[in-house]
Amino acid sequence: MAISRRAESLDLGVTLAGEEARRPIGGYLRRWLPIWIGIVMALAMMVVAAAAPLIAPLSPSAQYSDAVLKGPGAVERHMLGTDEFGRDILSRIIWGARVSLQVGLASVMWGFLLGVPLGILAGTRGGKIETGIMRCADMLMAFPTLLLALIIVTALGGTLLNEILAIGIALTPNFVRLSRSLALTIREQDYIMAARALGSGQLRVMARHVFPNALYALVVVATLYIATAIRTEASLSFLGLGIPPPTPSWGNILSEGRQYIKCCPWITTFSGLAIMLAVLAFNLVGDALRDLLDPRLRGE
Amino acid sequence: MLKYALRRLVIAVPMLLGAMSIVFFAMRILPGDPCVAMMGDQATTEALADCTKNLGLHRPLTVQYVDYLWRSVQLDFGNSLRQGYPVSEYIARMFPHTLVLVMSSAVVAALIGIPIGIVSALKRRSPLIDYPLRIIALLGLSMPVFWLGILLLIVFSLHLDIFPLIGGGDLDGVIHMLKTGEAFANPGDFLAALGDVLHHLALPAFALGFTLAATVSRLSRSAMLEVISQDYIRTARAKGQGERTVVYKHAFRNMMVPLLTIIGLFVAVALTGTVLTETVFTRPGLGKMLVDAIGARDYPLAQGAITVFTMTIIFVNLVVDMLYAVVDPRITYR
Amino acid sequence: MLSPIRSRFALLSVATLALLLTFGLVALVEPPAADAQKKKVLNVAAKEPDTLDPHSSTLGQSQAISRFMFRGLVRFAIKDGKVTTSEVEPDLAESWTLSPDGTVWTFKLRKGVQFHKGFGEMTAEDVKFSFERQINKTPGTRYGVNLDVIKSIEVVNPHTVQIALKSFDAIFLLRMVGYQQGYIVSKKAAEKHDQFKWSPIGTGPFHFERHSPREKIVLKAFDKFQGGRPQIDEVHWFDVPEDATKLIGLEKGTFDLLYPEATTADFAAQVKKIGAILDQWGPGGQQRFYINMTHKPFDDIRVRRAFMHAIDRKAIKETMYPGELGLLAISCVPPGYFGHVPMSFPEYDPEKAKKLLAEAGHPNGFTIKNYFISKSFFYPKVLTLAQEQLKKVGINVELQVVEHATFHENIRKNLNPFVLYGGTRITDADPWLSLFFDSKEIPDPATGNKGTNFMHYRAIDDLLQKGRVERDTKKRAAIYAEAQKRIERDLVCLPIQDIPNQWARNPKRVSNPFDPNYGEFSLHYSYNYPEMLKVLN
Repeated sequence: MAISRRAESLDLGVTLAGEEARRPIGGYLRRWLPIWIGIVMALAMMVVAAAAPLIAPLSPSAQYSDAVLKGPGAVERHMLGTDEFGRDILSRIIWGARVSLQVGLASVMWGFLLGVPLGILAGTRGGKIETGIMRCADMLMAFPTLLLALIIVTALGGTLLNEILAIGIALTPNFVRLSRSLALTIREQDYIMAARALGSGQLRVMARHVFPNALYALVVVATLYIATAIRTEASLSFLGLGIPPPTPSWGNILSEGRQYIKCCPWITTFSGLAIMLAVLAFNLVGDALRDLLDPRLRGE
Repeated sequence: MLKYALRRLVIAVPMLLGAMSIVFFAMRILPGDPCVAMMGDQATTEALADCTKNLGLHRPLTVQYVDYLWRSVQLDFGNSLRQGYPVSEYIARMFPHTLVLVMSSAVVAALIGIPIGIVSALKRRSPLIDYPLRIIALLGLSMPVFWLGILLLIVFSLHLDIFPLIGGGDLDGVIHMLKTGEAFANPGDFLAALGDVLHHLALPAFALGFTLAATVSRLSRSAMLEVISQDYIRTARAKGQGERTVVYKHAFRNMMVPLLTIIGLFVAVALTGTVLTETVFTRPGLGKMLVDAIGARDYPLAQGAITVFTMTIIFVNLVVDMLYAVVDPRITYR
Repeated sequence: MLSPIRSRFALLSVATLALLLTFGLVALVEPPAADAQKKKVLNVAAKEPDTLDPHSSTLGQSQAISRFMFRGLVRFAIKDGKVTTSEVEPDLAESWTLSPDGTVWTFKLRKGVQFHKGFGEMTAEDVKFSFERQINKTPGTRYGVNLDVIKSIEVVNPHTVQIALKSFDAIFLLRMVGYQQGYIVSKKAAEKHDQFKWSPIGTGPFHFERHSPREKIVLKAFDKFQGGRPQIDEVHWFDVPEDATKLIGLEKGTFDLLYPEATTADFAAQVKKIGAILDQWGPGGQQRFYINMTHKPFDDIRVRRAFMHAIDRKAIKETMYPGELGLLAISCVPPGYFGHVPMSFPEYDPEKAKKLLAEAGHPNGFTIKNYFISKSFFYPKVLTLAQEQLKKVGINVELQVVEHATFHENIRKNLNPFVLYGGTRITDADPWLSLFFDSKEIPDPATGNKGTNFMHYRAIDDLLQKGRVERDTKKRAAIYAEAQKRIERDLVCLPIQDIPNQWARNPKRVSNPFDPNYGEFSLHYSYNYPEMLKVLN
């Protein structure tokens, strides 16, 4: 169907002014600066997450009953203050990076692994298979991502793995639709025709030609969905369906702190900032890469 | 065109049916017994058994399923298990609140997003203007709406005291006056009620709209970039058409397609956003009601609400697809 | 080249700005305050009740609002400016007598008591109906079990009703208090059960006016209330689930009374800071652990003792409810209940706990997988605190946070080896112990028994039997003291804290004749005498 393909290509923003291409030197910095900023931010967070046991000053679950709901610096031990159980916010945010990024990356990976093969299959094979896959995807698309994740988490129970699965499944239809429309475009390219003419099998065509060509666009969009996944995790926590205590995730810290937003705003502020920066980082990368995703530019 | 519309409608039916089935079975798979949820910790064993029977939950699943589908066709979603109200009546009360929230947040998102998108497209060669603007837009997307919401409440409702803290305003009154024609007989009263609704709407619409502005600005930026560099614009100019004609006839028409896409995307995203926004701003509405219904295992209410959700999304996408053809003759339907 | 387009967009930007301004201006127009000045309105922030049928709901907010609209035959006595929970005085009944054999109660009803909205005078028929609808388990009613002791109800004349019991019942008058099963409803109105849920008719000081779902419930003063028309004209009961929002509203003046989801340290501090008052009343809801003595490894009493040594009850209490906000629990029958005696429990001592665990064959502790805990109220908080304390002695608890309904279902399937539980009951040891310690109440998914004896305790059945038929108060007290001794011996119940029910009140807006600290007692969650609240200007 011509229409939905059109909509998706626009959603991707696969456009860029030709003018810009004509001024490559100034354009280079402009185009790559946000990407680098984003990448540096994201990498910094990943390093923090990986090195959490080394960096975090205290245990994220240790409860200091003598320092309940203390502000930043009120007790020297707690640089960013403590929460309702007397736990160190800084340590929780550092450890929380682990969980939040894990959820973000792993759930997108699930969505990718489930969605892309189906989408490419639909786009390359066409016919009844395509109709069937796309109807299912459309059906799931009719549920907003958060809602779908919410139902799945309620059903499975809120553990880290289930959370990842739920968000992953909720993201799947997006990947199906996107990779199908990419496959549709690629299918018409001359070299695919040539490969077919040379007698390559369907599977081979899909794996060797369609997938690599779609990969770039898919990765870009996946970056954006990491941001979505991190936000969805926070939203699920807000609705009380987060990862169970004492595991800290940014969403957990934020939603546990919202009750104390008036007396002790540091809990929500620092965790909110962490979420914001992470989402911003992945969005910056994805957004800027998306601008670069112009076929005319790639040819240069 | 008509044929295409009909075909899409026919396709929409199994989609809706599928979505409803998913909801039905998902609700039954969820752990937790609605009777225990309703009757609480003091219920006796017999009372729980009675409750199950009264709600018809002791029947085989297939019987319940067929019953549910058959009654849904007649737009009868049963009664809320928890509060006893007919589901259709309940949803009819909640839906307008959610609808005005989605619409007004669309307005806010457009008011923030489109100017940012356009300016950052035009100024794309001055990073000092372009980047800050894009980052502002991205901030909205990155900020958890419930965090932003509470901050807005503390500043604008508590300290500055210019917006109400809770509720959705007298929307019932507005609807009633519109229905009975009283709105025209008594414009003063009507405007007062409308003002009340807008007064309650301002903060939630801003919070939700701001989070969605990034998407809008991104799309309008790329659309703008495309438009100003298109060959046909140059051709039009070369033909000696006035700038006004060029912009309106060509640029605007082409902006419409991405705008429509935004609307299509927007509805699904915004409906999700209402869940959180309605919670933070204590507004009546469909989103929060649905989450509560799932929590309380209120099967009929959750089923009814999700059906309305999906119907809305399917319907809006259908309309958007239709409109593509109107604004962009290049798109044809097969 | 771009300038014309740019000017186009400058224009657009101006238009945008204009639109924004208009939007802001419209938002600023205050709606006309419709005669709010004249009316005395009480604004309450709580959750939305699930029903207004007083016999139907176990939710706190539903029970709290019931007391505004309904009354019972008797009520808690006011003594020395305080409301008690042990003595009753006439309310809808003028007087009563008990037959010599202790099984027939005769109530003489007050004359001229009117139901709301012209439903006429309350008569013996309404009393009979109110109890029988529950005994017969009319769909939706919840409290029939509390009236099981009744054999028959007879209308002697319109103002006399005779209630025959199956056997003597020491706490029958407490069952007749206007609370849960004790409320008298209009027979004419309640026969249509489905409609009664949202068009309740009682004899209380306020009558139901309207309900805007998910927004508010409006109650109005009942002119013909037998205690005299209340001073407050209207009660607006807002649906506000979030405590943070409630607090903002109290400070802003949107609300006068708050029913918090959880009274925490910061909540109390905030309330104090903005010059508001916490009204407390007891007996407190007790939060306690029940340990399943049939569940491995807790079938070993040494493990149960180790568990108790590992829990720092004081730290939990002081973290969650510092100072006066709560009391450290001292018995498995809370203070304020008839029959309560203080008990002693293994003191906090992680070293001892480790030693005991080692003796019991768990030198490295053990892990409890899939421990279910409700995501609501105090449950996740107590468990988060206990989890960390248990970890220190080697007991790892892997939590699964679930909906409240799922939690209740799962603990009745014996999925948790120890169960955190909270709440209040009729203030007497008999109903309390019968619900939680009687072997008849052992939950069993095989038989469908959904009782609440999560310990699978069987050691006081005989005492409970004896206590139910004992008419001598002193002997009854001795029986329950013995029961508590056995519970202490068997180490199956560890009470953590007794938390009074507390609401926040803006004293500049609303006055309450009773002392904020336990001046008033109430069984569940709210003002016992809402008609005595006054709205000040």
